[in-house]
Amino acid sequence: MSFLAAQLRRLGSLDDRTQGLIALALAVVLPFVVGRTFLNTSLYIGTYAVLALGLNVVVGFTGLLDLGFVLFLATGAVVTSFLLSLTRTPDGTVQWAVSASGGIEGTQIFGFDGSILLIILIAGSVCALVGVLRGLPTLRVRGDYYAIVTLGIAEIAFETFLWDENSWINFTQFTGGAFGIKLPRADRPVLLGDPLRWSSPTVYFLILAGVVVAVLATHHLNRSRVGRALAAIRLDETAARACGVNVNRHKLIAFAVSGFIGGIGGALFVVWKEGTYSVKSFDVWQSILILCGVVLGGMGSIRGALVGITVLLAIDQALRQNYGGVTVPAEALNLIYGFLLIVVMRFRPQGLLPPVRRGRPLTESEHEALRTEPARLFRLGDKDVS
Amino acid sequence: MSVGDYVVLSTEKLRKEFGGVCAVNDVDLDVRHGSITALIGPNGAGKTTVFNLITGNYDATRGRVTFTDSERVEHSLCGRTPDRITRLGIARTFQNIRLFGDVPTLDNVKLGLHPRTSRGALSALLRFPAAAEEREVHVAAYRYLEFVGLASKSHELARNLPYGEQRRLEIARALALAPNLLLLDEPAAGMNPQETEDLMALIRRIRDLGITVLLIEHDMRLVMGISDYIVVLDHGEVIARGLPAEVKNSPDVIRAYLGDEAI
Repeated sequence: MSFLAAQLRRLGSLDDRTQGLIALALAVVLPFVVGRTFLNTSLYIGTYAVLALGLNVVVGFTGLLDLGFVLFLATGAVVTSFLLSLTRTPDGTVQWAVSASGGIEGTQIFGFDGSILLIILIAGSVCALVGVLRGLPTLRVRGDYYAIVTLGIAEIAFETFLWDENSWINFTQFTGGAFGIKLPRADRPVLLGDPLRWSSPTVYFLILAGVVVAVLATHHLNRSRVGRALAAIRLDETAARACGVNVNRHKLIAFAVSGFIGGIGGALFVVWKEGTYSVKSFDVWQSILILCGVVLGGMGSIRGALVGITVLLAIDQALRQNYGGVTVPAEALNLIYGFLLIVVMRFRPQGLLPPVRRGRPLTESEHEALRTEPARLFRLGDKDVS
Repeated sequence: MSVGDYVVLSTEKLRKEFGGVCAVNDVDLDVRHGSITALIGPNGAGKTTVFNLITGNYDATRGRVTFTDSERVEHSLCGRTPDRITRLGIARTFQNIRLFGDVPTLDNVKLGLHPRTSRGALSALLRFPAAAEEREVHVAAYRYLEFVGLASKSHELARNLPYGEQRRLEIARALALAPNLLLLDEPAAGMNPQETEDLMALIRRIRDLGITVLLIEHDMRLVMGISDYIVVLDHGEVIARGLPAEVKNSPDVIRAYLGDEAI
């Protein structure tokens, strides 16, 4: 045990890049050594890891509590299914049918190889726009109101998705309503000549690529000028303004990035589910689940979001297994998560792997280098000091 | 550029009411370029309110604030947001230090460089080569720390610094904004005599570099020691103004601080 702890500590002392590459290497080997159940769990974790990374931008980096992140999962998924079902009929019209009753005669518009990559980008962009639109009315409110607005909008969307032909607009033609979405087998996306089935390695690597992209994007964002501004907003909005940070603009940037990554997660969800799912599953508990992953791992920490969601979903899957006829009742699951969160909050409120804020002190030679380098931005008063 | 050849900041009939209370009552203020101007007065006189009106944290009930930037362009500050006013060239520190405590000191200063750098989110997400700008930001932030004497603390978390150093870090962050006017709200509060001495030297150095300083302070040794001009507020009104020697002997000022019996 102490050996394991020592090895973990050694792993923790490696730099970000090395840790990332080790994790990536393990993830690449994983599908070839595990069975089907475990593979399916990996896809579940991968998809939700993307979502957790997206949520982390707003909750962790910017410090705003988002209780309605499922909105992006739902929107990304619905946009993806809709685009995949778009069909050009022989008489030249474009039609779609997401709740398959045998499909439509004609050619699938997004039927070409690799179309899913384009669709992922579109789903992400739509969700970025949704994120900005959802964020606009919250710019004037502070603190917990953001949480309430996000919660409310996700609930409104959840209900709206079920509007049928008796309503003002028939949304079930896009969302399948209570019957769910089921893409015909022929409409499933093809990538590298491989019709995507969840058990195919292509799906696994597509989702893994999504995770890698989300990790890299949020990592670079966090360490950039914009990331610093988001941290300033999180820590003290007044001081951020006193540093010339346009708070509203940077919040909108965070909403857009968060939404974009959430939309990617939604598209990947459809790929994992092979186009068969119900929008009724996108309820508030999905938002809470993703949020729990981020909080468990440590808000604002990228590896925390990954580890948090992995631990949470692994426990979730383990509890759902059948152990020689004994199963945990579904109603007890939320109870167990709640208890888990209380334990974490009591003994490790910063999460399992909180972000490392402090850098290492500079060495003497680095000090010297900084002192002698030209500094264009170093300006004091009217005098040019550099 | 000679000292005092133009007015950097001027307020005209500046007024702020909170409900029925008039915190700032028709204050006229002129701050000349290159000067150290002190705004003093008893507690509750409205000094910090004046600062918050200048920086856009409060909206004035009435009156005008005009600022002249380093290019000698005049700006009316009325109705502008605090971040916009900062970008025009007014930097400030706060009475109750407002650092970003959870990040290293160097990153606090880097935030001060935010308005003068340009890299956007898209470029960061896609990681276009902006390493050059990041390097410049890093070096410049380090120089500002060096200027206030905190270079050796560059990687400490801001909240772990002793009080006096936090005050100086806040000044470094404000200087990184390359302001034409620096507002200091009680910079010497909580400092020991030696720290106050160092602070006075620092403020003089800042003034000598051509940055105009407007400060609120209760420490009379500091105020009388470094101010070129003093404005005294009481109950939201200007009761005296002038050179330190003139203000020191003004009966109105003595009465405001010590009561009628002192006269």
